[in-house]
Amino acid sequence: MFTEETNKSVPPGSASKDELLTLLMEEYGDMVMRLAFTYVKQRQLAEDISQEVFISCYHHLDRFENRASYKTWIYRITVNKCKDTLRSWTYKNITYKDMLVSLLKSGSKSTEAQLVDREEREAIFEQVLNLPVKFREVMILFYYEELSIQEIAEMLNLNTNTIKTRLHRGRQALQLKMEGVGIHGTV
Amino acid sequence: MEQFKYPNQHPDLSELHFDEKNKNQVFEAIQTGESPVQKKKPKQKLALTGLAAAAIFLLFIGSAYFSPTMAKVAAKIPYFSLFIQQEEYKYALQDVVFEAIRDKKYNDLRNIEVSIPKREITIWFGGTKTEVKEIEESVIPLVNTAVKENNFGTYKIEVIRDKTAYNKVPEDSPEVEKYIKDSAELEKSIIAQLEKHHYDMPFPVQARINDIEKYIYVAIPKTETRIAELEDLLRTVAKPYGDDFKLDIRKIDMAAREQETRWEEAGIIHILVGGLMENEEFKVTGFSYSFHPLPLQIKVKTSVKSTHSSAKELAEKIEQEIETFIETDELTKNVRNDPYELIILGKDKKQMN
Repeated sequence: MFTEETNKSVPPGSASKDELLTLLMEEYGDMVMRLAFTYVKQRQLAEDISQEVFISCYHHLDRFENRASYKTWIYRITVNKCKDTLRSWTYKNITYKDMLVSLLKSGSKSTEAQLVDREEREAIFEQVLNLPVKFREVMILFYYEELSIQEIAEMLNLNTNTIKTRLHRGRQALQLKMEGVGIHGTV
Repeated sequence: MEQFKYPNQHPDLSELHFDEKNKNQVFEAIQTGESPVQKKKPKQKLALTGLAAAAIFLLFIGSAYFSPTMAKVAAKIPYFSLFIQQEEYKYALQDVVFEAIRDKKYNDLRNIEVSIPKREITIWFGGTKTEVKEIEESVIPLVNTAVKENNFGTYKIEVIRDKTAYNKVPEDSPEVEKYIKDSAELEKSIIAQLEKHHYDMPFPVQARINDIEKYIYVAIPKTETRIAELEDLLRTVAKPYGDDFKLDIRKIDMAAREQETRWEEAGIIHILVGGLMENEEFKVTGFSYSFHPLPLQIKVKTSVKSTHSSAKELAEKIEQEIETFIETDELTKNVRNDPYELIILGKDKKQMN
């Protein structure tokens, strides 16, 4: 679960804006990119979004005022940027390209065969990525990023019951998917 | 919850690192005020490669071009989702073509048509033979460059002379102008009165005044009981324009209307029609639908006889694609729980499913 330790390495007020940004990028860069990837499912795009996130952070550092932890603040910016991207015309078209390219590349093995080759965790993660965004994001934030329901609710501007419902539905959908590909387990 | 951990060996995740290069780009962007993404990809909006176009081409041209593996993988992508994306790609290409010729001197552009599977762009112009010939010589290189610059690859571009001569539309006579003006005014007054008396209007009110008829159409919920009052109200409002109005008052099932609105907003019917017609494999020759009365009824007519050996399989295929689309696509999330009845008909008008 989320703990207070996230703020330890970046004490506000003691660093210049540039230094602070560097610290934030070092501390959260990978995390931002990983979270972005779970939304857009493309490496290059996740990288682009991550850069945008930190540019945005830099411009808003003055307004941050230490109200929340840097971690949740950066998460929120990332989530918003990702959603803007998902809504954009560009994303829809570029995805198409990537989907086709990966489709051509992965032609040699059937999906079933690939899944058997992989460890279960990877198979589950793949299926989580295939969930609709509204379920996917709560699953990722709760299970993978280990945020609390309250934190997720605040980040997504939803109430906690909605988050719980989505987690429940997400798990159900995941279970169906896993059964569909022949992996049974408690999810 | 061990299984809900990021996998170590994931091909993409393991490569994701916010490295020095990323950090430098962020600082550079902050200093220059220029987004690294925009800088890197000035035309990302249309940055599709020829490969993508070729792949779409392959996917849509039919089974002859598929390797068995390709076909198997392609079969896993819901058809309608792919169709929607192809449409978006097509519109994007159409935009590029239109933008390329818009500001030039060609003033009688009649139509632009783009076929992704055939890799063809067809542009129609009006004018004399010589004029169109001249246009052709300049417009083809122009469009060709624009299409390539935007990474759509190579297309066969054809310019066709549209021989239809359009006569200048004659101006409306003062009499017709008055009809139009009166109709619009009456419509406005009716709406104002209906709103004042709290009538729901599930469909837009229509008023027509011309030398053939005087007609008013009003739709109300079927639960509305104030019918006589409504008739009186309409006659009173229409009085300044005459007494002999035909009143067409329709009672609407609001549940059906709400469903219709949900489907309309997401453009589902439009996608179904377009997608079914686009792919020759479906052998679809006709499409009709009705939201009233409930449940929504969708009829798809095919060119196969219901007694033909392939009829059952074809019907199943169509049914399955439509079901998958309604159940899984992001666009259909608001209509997923709406009941609908799908009837697939053969050439002999007999049901196949």
